[in-house]
Formats: sequence, C-alpha cells, structure tokens
Amino acid sequence: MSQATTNPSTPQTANAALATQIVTALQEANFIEGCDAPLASALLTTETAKAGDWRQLLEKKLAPTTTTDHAATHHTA
Amino acid sequence: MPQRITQLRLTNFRGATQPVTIKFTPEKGGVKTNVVVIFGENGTGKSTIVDALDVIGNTSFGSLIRPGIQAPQKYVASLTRDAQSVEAELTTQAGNTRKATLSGKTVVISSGSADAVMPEIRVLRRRDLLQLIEATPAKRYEAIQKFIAVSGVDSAEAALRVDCNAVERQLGTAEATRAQAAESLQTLWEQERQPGEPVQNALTWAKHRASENVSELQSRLGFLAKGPAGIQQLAGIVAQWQQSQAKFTLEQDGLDTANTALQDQNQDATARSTELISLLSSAERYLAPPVEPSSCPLCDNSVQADALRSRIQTQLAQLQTSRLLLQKVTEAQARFKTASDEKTRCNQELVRVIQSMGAHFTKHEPAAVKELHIDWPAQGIELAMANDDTSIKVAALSEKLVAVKEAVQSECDTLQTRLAVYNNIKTQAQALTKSTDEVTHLQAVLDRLRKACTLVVNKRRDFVQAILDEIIGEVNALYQFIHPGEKIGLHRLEMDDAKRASLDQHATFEDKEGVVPQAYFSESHLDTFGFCLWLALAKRDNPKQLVLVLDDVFTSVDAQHFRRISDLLAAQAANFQQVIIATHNRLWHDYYKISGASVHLLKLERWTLARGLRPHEDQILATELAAALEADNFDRQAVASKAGVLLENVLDNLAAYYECSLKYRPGRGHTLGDLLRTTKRLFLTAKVRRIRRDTHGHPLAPHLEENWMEIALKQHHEKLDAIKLIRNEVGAHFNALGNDWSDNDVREFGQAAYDLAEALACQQCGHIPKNLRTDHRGCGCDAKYQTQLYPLSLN
Repeated sequence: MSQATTNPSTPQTANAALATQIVTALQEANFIEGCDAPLASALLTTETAKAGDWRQLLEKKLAPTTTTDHAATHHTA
Repeated sequence: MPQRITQLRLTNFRGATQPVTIKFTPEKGGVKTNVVVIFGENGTGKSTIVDALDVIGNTSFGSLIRPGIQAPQKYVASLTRDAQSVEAELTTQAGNTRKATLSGKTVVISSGSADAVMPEIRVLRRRDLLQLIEATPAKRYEAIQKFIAVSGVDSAEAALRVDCNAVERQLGTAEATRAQAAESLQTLWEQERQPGEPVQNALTWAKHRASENVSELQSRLGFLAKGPAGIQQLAGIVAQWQQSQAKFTLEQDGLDTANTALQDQNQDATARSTELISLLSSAERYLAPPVEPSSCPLCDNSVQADALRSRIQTQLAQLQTSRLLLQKVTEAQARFKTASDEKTRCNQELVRVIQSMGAHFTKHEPAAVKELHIDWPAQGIELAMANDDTSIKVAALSEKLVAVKEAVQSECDTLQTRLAVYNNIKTQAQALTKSTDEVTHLQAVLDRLRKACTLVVNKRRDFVQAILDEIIGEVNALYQFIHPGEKIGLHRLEMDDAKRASLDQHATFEDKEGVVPQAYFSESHLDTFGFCLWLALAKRDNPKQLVLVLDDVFTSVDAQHFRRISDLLAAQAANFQQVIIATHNRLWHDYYKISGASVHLLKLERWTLARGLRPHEDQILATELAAALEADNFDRQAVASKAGVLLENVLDNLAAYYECSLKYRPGRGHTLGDLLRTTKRLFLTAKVRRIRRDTHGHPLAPHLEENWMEIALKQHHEKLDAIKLIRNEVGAHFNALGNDWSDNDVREFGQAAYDLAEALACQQCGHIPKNLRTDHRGCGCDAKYQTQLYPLSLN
C-alpha cells in the first residue's frame, strides 16, 4: 500500500486540529503567551511531553505575579 | 477519477483456473458508471473476484481468513496450480497497475510505476457486517480509533496529570513544613514572649526578635566560656604540682636514707674502699674481653689480663656490700632529680596558667569571680616567680576559683540558652516565611496546571464527541433512508473516559433511548445498522480515494428494503471512487437491470474447473431493448417481451408512488392493461422536467431556465394504451392474434416503451423520480440537477 495517498482524516490531522484548538484556548485563558504557542503545540502533537514540561510552560506567566505576591506577603507580615 | 478500477486480471487465483480478465466500464454514454454489480449464482466465482481485490488492495487473504483455515496462503492458488504461478493485477482508469503475487506466506505487491496513485480498497463481507455492532467496546474503539485517536494530546494530557500530581505532592510537603514551622514558632512565642514585645502574632514577634543585635552576646559568651575551662585547667595543674611536691619529699627522704646507710658502712671500711670499689669495677670492665690489654695503662708494665681480672673479681666480691649501697645511693639520686624537675615544671606551668587567667579575667571577669574581689593585675605581679611559694599561693587561689566554677558555668549556660533561643526563633521565622512563599507559589502553579488539565480534557472530550456525533448523524441519515419513518437508530456513541480505549454504543428503539441494539433490533435491522455504520465510517475516511466492495452482504432484507439500499448506494456512490457489489440475489440484480442507468452490470456464468470464471457483460433492460430494436435480425418476440417487462416495471413503480387503485387478483399479478388503466389519470397531467446536458453528459448551468426541458408524458401513455395487446399476443403467448401485428407495430410498441422509460428515468442515476419535494417528485441526484416528475400526487 505504498501508494496510499494522504488521508485528511488521519489521526495525525485530527490530533493537529485538536492541538490547535487547545493552544488557542490556553492563550485565551491567559495560560500561555503567543510566543509559547509553538512550544505548547509541540507538547500536544509530538508525543514527547515529559514530566515538568507543562509546569515549566505554565509557570512562565506565573513568575512575575508570584514575585508581586511575595512582596505583598512580606509587606503585610 | 482516474483511480477507478477498469480491469482485473487473474491468473491461477482461487476459482480462476484459466487466466481471465474482468473489465469494469467507467462510463456509459457519457454517464459515469461508478457502481459495478457483479451478479452470479452461488459457486460462480464472486468471492474469487472480491478476494482478488482484497489481496491487491489490502494484502489480505479475504474470505480465506476464517476459523478452521490455518494457512490461508495455501488455498490462494487454483486447484492443481502452485502458489508461485498466482497473479492478480488491477488496472485503473488512469492506466496505473498494481499486481499481487505470493512469496511464501507473504503477499508481494508491485506497482507499474513508483508514483502511481492507486485507490484504497475497502471490503465488506456478510460475516463482517455485525462486527462493529456486536463488538466489545474495546474492539469497537479499535475500529473507530482512526477517526478519534489523538495520541499526541493523550500523551500531553498524561504529562500534564503527572505534573499536577507532582506539584500536589510538593504542595503537601510545603504545607506540612509551614504548619510545623508555625507550630514551633507559636510555642516559642508563648514560652519566650516578654512584656513590651509585639503581640499581633508569632511571626511578627519572631521578626522583632530576629532583628535584635546579638553580636555582643555572642562575643561575651565566647569569653565567658573560657572561664570554667581555665579554672578546670588551673585546678588540674595545681593537683599535678601537689603530686610532684609529695613525690619530691618522698624521693628526698629516700636519698637521705641511702646516703646514711652508705656512710654507716664507710665508717667500718677504709676511707678509700668506696673509691677502691669504684676503681676495681672500672678495671674489671677495662680488662674484659674482647680487648684484653697486655699492658697496664698506668705503669705500662706487661700484665696478664685474665689473671689480673680474676684477682680483681676476688677483691670486689670482698667489697660487695659497699658496692650495693653505693648503687642504691646512685639510684635514689636519679629519682630525686626527676621529682625535683617535675616540681619545677609544675611551678612554671602554674605561673603560666595563672598569668594567662589573670590577663583574661582582668578584661572579662565573670560575675561569680568578681565577687571574690581578686586584684588580678596585682596578682600578676605577685605570682610572677615560679617557685614553691608562688605555687602555694596559686593553689590557694585555685581553691577559691574552683568554688565558684559552677556559678561561672551557670552564667555561661544562661547566655548560651539565650542565644540558642534567638537562633531558634530566627530559624523558625525564616522557615515559616519560606514555606509560606513556597505554598503560595505552588498553589498558584497547581491551580494553573489543574485548570489547564481541565481545559485539555474538556477540549479533547468535546472534540472526540463531536466526531462521534457526526458519525451518529451520518449513520442515522443513512439508516432513515433505508428505514424511513421507523423509530429506530443510533442514539449515542461515547468514550468511556475511565477506560479510554473503549467506545460504548447506545441505540434508540421506538421512544426508548440508550438501548442495546442487539437486544431490540431484528436481524435485518442489525444488518442494515452495521452496513450504515460501515458506510458512514467509509465516508469519513477520504471517500474520494476509496473503492467499496460489498461481497453478498445482504441476505435477510426484503424487496422493498433492497430497493432502498440500492437507491442509497446509487446516491452514495458519488461520494466514492467506485462501488463494486457482488450478489447472488436476483431481486437485487433485476432491480439494477431495470433502473440502473449509472450501473455497470456483470454476470458470472456457471463455473467449471476446466473453464474457470466466466464473466459476461450484462445490460440494463432499457439498453437490451434498444439493442433489440436496432438488431439487423429483428426478434419481434424478444422486443415485445422486453418492452412489456420494462413497461410493466415503470408503470408498477408509478402506480406505487402515486397510490393508484388496482383490482385485486388473488395469486396473480397485475396485467399491463391494469397498470395502464390505473395510471391513465396520472398521465393526463404528468410531465418530467430535467436539466439539459452537454455532449459529454455534464449538466448545464441549473440556474438558467433555458437549460431545463419539460417532457409531457400523456402522448406516451396514449400510444402504448392503443397497442398494449402486443405485450401478450406477440411477447408472451402462442397466439394466432399475434400474427396480426406487423414488425413495425411491434417495433413501435418497443420504441414507445423505451421512450417512456427514457423520458421518466434520470439520465444520471437511472431512477424514476419518487422522492417527495415541494411540488414534485425528485430523483436521488444532487438537488441542483435532480430530474423532476410532476405532479407531486394525485390528490
């Protein structure tokens, strides 16, 4: 079956379509920045996501907020 | 569609004991014939053709894969032939070829050219029909997995969950650390809080405490800690000095005693005896071997060493007592010297230690020592000389200091405890602050991870469910085509989220939802249900590349449902590259033979070992009638018969569509006269409206009115009604009356029947329009080009 043509309904294209939806939703929910979209897309499509990858990605936007929170905590304490 | 199969060539493949080529006509008179119907009674070789398509398209041994057949490859070759001689090759409309041969257990596929585009072949056999319906949820998932599997997202989701769990554990640890730090600090606060210190909470208090400058305390503790140690050291050296003093006295007494004893002995001996013993002892050692001198070292006279040494030893024996006393004195002197030296060292050490202590206490005097009112600078001067008097004073001073040593130690311990509490408060406050920060951060991270996880899970569920719902919608649409108006269908396909690779199936029956189809559906309903699910999945799976092959799939459906299935396939065939139907059912074959304008009919004649497969081109009835009308050797009986059958079929369909009344004739069908009579009222107003087509058979623009033509049907009916007797008198029975009809009459009857069938049938799908539209009936073609039959009804 080496001559089989590309199938538009392959799992890969379904996965890619879903990954695109998820990346858009993650951006809309303010979980990631636009510049991190390719990284999120890679996590969702390449089956190479490993422990810590998502945390690293989602902590990116969190870091400045946390610093501010820390300062506030210290101040009130 | 250049991938449509146009030819299948078989050599020694299964029933093809002789090389055979089966040709599939891709179009007929400008009309695409992408439905191929292969009709043959049982044992004529239908499965051979289907298996050949399966082996070329899917490298599958097709119908040979069944229980009881261990090595299907053994049975691919025709009887009396070997596997090496087997070949099955298909050719597409574009001229591309693909060939299957056998090599051991393996099917070897070779293509005419490497970049040839070939269709994908999907085969459905009767035994596979219920596979999807009756399969376990896991097996059903496998079948549909191709459309709903999102392994990349699944993998990412799993990694996301791993991160959630890891952060959750970290948060638990951080919270425990914080709680422990808070509890410890609270305890410290309650124990150590002093009046005037902050009272808000333990952390505020701790931070106040931690801000305290403790460097002076630390310095003071460092000096204070030397006090007890110094006193201890001093006391130790005093003890040593006292021991050395005692020893000194003892050794002095011993020396005195030894000297006295020697003096007493010397009073009885000559004054020189002591010296003599000494001299003789030296001379004896001098004369001892190995030197043994031969002359005296004093007078230089010759001597005999042996004799002289012997004489000296005799003299010494006589002087032995004096010699022993002298030896004791010598030993006592040595011990006395050692004791004296030790006492001197102790005296010196005491001075060094008391000087050092004095200097230290001058600057950092503990409170307990201060109460002794010692003038340390003065003491330093007074106790500067190392001797027994000084040591006696130091010993007295040491005694006083030892008495206050415990107090000094207590002072030191108090200070140390204070510093330890300070450090503890500081450590716990830092731990509380750090763990609180960590908890805050981890909570925020966990919150984001959980929300992201929920987002991914929901998106994945919605995505998959949307696909499943689309499949359900398609299945139900197909199912309603076959079973219109029946309250039966597929209700829901849904993933089992706990098991994931599992797909549950729920059907509707009457008004009840969520039923198990196998429990409620009839055999026929299950067959068509399985078929619709298979077809719906095929439609999702790149249908323009697919050739569907149905191998004698339907055996349990009645004539009415056969028609609907045929109509459905005719309508759905446009979605696919090609549909190949193999059937032994004559009802189905006849249905296509009567109304299959877009169908290529093949008939398989009786198979024999010697001749193998015998495919023959078959024609639809109208085409056969047209050929009979044009034949040089005019067969009037054949024309009358074929025209009659065609006409009766057309009128029977119209009578059914328009619910015309027919006289009931028990055990007999209706005659042509009956059918013409009952449809007469319909034909008074009946007309067909159809799109004009170009020379290639393509429809012209449908939005332009001039591209549509109308055909009134009244005159067709009138003409046929006038000569209807030809059907029986020439085409059916031996009847002398038939001789009254000329060949021209018969030709006219045949032509009129053909014209009516041609006028009514859609040029694309070959069917008489029957589907109810707004004001007319339409065929199953694309809505823009549908052939329209008026009126809608007779009421």
